[in-house]
Amino acid sequence: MKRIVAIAALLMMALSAYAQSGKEIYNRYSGKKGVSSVYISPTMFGLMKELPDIHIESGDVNFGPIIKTFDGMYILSVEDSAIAADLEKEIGDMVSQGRFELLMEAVEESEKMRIYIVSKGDTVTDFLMLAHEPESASVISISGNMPMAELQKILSEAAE
Amino acid sequence: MKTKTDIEEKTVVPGGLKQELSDMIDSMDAAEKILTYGKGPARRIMNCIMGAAAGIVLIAGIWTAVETFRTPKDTFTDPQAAYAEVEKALASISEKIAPGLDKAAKAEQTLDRNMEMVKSLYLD
Repeated sequence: MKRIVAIAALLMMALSAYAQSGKEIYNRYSGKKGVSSVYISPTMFGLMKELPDIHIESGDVNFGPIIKTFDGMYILSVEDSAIAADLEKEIGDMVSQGRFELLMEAVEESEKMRIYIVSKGDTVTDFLMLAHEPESASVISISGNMPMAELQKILSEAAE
Repeated sequence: MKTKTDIEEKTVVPGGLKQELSDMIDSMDAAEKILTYGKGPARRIMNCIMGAAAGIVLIAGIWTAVETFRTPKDTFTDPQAAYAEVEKALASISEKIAPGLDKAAKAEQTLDRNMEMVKSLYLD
């Protein structure tokens, strides 16, 4: 009996040791020293949609339509080089499990920016951006039902 | 009638039997010690330690799982403040994407120019 319980506990630990989503990454790093975090829940996104006359625009990019498809956002900003390196490694491990696919990567000297997505057909269900510099890192993870066309529109508008 | 001396003279004890018997007794004694070990105080202490270790592993497993899969607490209580943060985050994504896409566009233009040069060399 003891052996079964110990094996079950070890299995549980092993399962939770490998993060599979932005939420799990957030839970692991949020609250650590040198890490600031922001979580916006599905409920809050529901309330945001009900706000009258929201002006959802930044510069020339209109974020309105895509924000309506979000149902959760996790933001981590790490100002500690060791934690930043751990975070990058953990995201690498998560991606290597095969659920996320690399959408875009930009590397400039020691700065790296990668965007990963999880998609079901033409809908993006998870979006994760990792920006890593030697001394810091930031992660923005969004879950929702984002049409790929909307995402492409945002990307192309950002490039202009 | 056979005397005691006659029997002793006729019974031949195989050589090494005494040693074999002694070894057998020793091994039986060792086996008995192994069988009775579980009932000893050392075994009970070991059982207690193993039980406590299993309990600690179980608690650590549950705690790790709960911490990993929990739903975090909302950072904002005001939807407008939350919206401002979302907009800031999207602007930040946009900002980080733009240089990469710009470089890709420049590389594409260079590639197009070179392709045109190659085409003109072959067509002219």
